[in-house]
Amino acid sequence: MVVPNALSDRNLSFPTGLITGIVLAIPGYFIGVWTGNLFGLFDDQNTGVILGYAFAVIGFLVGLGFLNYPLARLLGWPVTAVPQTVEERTWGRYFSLSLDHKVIGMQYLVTILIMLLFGAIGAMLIRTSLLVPDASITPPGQYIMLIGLHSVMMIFITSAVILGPFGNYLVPLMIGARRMAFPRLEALSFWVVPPAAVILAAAVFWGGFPTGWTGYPPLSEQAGQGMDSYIVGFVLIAIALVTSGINMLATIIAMRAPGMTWTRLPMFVWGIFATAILGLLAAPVLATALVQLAMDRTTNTTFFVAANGGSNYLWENLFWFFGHPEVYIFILPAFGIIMELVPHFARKPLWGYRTGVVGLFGVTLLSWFVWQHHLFMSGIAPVLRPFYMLSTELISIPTGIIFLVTLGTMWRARIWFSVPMLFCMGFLFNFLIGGISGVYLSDVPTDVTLHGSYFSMAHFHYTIVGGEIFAMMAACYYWLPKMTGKMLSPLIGRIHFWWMFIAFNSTFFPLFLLGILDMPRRVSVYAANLQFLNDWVTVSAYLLFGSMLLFAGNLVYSLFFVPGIAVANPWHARSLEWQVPTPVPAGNFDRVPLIVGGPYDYGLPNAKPAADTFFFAAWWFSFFYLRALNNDQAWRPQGVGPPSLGFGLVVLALVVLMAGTYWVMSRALYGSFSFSLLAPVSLVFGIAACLFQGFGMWHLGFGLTQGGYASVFAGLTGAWLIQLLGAVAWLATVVVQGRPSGDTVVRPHSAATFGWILVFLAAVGVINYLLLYLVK
Amino acid sequence: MATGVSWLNPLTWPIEPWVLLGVEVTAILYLRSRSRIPSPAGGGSGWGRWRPLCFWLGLATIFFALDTPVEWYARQLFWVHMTQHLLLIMVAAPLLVAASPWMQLWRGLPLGVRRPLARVAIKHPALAVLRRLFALIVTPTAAWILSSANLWFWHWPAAYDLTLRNHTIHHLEHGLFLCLGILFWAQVIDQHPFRLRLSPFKRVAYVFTATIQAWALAALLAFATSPFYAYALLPFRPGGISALTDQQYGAGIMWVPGSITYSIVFIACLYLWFGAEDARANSFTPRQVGVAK
Repeated sequence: MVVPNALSDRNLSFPTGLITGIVLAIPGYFIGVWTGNLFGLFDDQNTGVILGYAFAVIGFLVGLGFLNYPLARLLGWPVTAVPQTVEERTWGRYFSLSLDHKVIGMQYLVTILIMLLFGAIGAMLIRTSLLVPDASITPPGQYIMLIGLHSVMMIFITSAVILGPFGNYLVPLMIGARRMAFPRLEALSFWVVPPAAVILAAAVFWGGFPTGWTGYPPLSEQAGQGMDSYIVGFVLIAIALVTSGINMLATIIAMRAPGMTWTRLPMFVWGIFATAILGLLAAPVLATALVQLAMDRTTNTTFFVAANGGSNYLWENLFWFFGHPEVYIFILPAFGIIMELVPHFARKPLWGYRTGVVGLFGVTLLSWFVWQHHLFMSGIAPVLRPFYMLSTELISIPTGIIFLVTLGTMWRARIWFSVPMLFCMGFLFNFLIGGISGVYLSDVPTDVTLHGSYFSMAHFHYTIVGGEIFAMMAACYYWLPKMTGKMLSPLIGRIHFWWMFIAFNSTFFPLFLLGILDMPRRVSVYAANLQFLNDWVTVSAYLLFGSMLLFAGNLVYSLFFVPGIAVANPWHARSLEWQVPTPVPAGNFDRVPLIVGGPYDYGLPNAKPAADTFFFAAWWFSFFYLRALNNDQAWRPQGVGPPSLGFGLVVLALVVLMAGTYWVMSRALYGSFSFSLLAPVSLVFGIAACLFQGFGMWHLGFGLTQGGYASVFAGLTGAWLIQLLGAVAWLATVVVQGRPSGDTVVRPHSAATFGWILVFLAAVGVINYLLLYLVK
Repeated sequence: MATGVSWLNPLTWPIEPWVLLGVEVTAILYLRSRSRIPSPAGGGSGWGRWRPLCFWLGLATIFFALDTPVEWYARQLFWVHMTQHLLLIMVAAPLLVAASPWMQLWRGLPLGVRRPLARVAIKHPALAVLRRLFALIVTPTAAWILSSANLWFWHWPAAYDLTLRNHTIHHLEHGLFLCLGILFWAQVIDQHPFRLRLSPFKRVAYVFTATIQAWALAALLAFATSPFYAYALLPFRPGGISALTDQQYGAGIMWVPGSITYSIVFIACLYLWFGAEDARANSFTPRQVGVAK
């Protein structure tokens, strides 16, 4: 295949980097606000604010250089699929778009720690306010703003605190791979996190948002523009979860070194694997719910407006369908860390390896059908509550199995009580309390009494702070010698552990008592007789914050004041990541040969449609849910309906033809006659489908406020249309560069994979047609 | 019980002749071959005393579900009817598959019947289409699709109400649940002497996806705000519950207790997969993949 010289010599000389990103984000924001205010006639600038954030993020990512590679491919310039990472040890690489998983891991770690500082300051302000039983320190509006910012910031952090830094840094090292499967996706999964944090913090300028992290309508529909920060920030986190989920699964399935069979996989990798499944399938449902909320707030659809063909229960179901797996996204990597570290410090093989993995997957499976226990007090059908109680209590079985495996490993061992091991023991102690109080809360009568009190608040802080953050600390003390090349001081580490452990329990254990004494969450005013306990908790919380500062001090001390570099394997551990030198070479391993394809036909090509299926499934669920809940008039008033049966059929036929021609094309030879012919034909079909569908949406003939059907119609066809536009962009890439530069750019593998995605989109179109046009 | 149906007096039970006959004939065939030829217990691994136990428990479950007062309640209560179906699909079918009684049942037939029957079934040219069809439906994909489609079909209100009115259709429904249940579980539970087609890992995925679709159906019924089926027309239900409550109980039973078999088999398949993977790891030497040194 001949590549024309005129094209091959060119390259992008667009300056990219963090500074460019910030420089582009600012005009992006104002363009978004301006555009939104131009079209958003219904609301108080919500359209402008949401579009402003979206454009700012896009500008930021473009400035960082995310567009260079797709643009080069679109224009047919030669590109390197995955550039070989070079040995460069400058600080600059941490501030630019890097495709090295080790750099991304460190970027994640520092970002998360900075975010953690802000989240913790929020917690200190909350506790300060609770020093007095009345609202004299913070007025009520400010208090609920603090609650919202603290909770959502902490949810962002805890979603990524292990998966991001340690998952990205260690998974390739532990399975013997040189890199992650999709390095650009990996970089994207990091670079959306800082904008998410900044956008969330920007809510302060709008007075925050009053809903806490759950964002329940109708409050979230009525809230001011601070709510838009919540929406956009959470969408970005959902994107991070989906992209890193796909990436982790693909990497662990396909890139293990020869001999790294499934039963030799380190437990930490298993924890990440289970987490990736959860993130991949749960986050799209959250994205759907957030898009619906954003549509309600900007285009006046009525997804969550009960008076007008919607239902606030729809939000509660979608949110918690994501929300409950989300808490296992927090804790499964922590389980992985504990089961990984304990054998090293007990110097024994893990007791019950298979049982431990089965425990992880048991949690993964069960986590999907317990979410309704969050709705016990919301007015769901009372007869269903015992079933969700039962299913929730079942989760304690695999969790207990994981504990059993850990304790069995320590049985009769001569344990080396290093600092990481101390944190593992702290985890076991805290999570036991957190887990068992969770069993109490799953019990319907107990939950009816304690719902919305400090008891549940103490419960989830015991699991997240006492569980996940303790595991994160164990991971820091254990792996930072490999990641930074500096051993953290064990003496300060020991002081840090005992300080943090005592302060943590002294902070959160009294909260159980306060909960039983009926102190409500999210309110700054409480009964005067509870002041002593609250003051006790506040002082303890200050001490807990102090222990975190000590940890920061230990980091600074070890990084800047300890000379020399840590030995390669300070723990004398047998696992793979310790067998490489410190600092880790750019290519990780010198000689390890890589497995190219996975042994099972599950994974790579289907990963994206799998996430997308859940995205659309959430829309379809909304359709059935609102249809079943509303009478005919509220669902679809007189005069509201799809354009016409024939119109829908034409659009559908065009999409099917696009997918069909592409399918034939992607299996034809490059440069062959059928290839050259069919690629443009497929593109024409795609453009026609988009134009027709866009025209149909523009001339709906009914307003979006007219009942549940109108909302679902707009959202579902809109989501489909956006994906069709993406497909057309890909087809345009194939047509534009397919002929001149032949097989150098669009590789047969990705072309074939995309055929599956088009078939999937056509299938979605068929289901949409059945629902929107045919079901009454 | 006002109508005279009593748990204590089997004479009042709603015995269905065809069900009773089927259960009895199966039992007799099983016993006949056991008395005539030794069971494979002597030779062959994977054969335990638990297999006959599974067989009898499976048969008893079918009898319990269809011929006892359970059936009488199932005509008035949706949730009992769902329990009845779950007993067939999730208890009787996997038990029968685990018992793997097929060779024994076959040998229970007299030789004079077996030979011509086998000859016709295997060789008769008129049955070629049927044989090909059978070969198709015993593949894992077809078994998954058929059993799921069957499950969803009978919960379609029109089909469901038809079974309440028409007894023949109702028997057909139960027969399909049992047969397709056996077909479904036969893909993941080992049965002597047949070999499974699915690799251990694919079995995990097979059960996982089936669980999800069963949950989707249960969720649909649980979230419905009006009763779907003709039960709503009954003036009175045992226990005095409303038709909607009845439907929600049924959905809850499908959701949580209905998942128990799935969960057990899912975990067993995971263990099997690890066993296969361990065997692979142990047979793995650097020479095989060409790693230097």
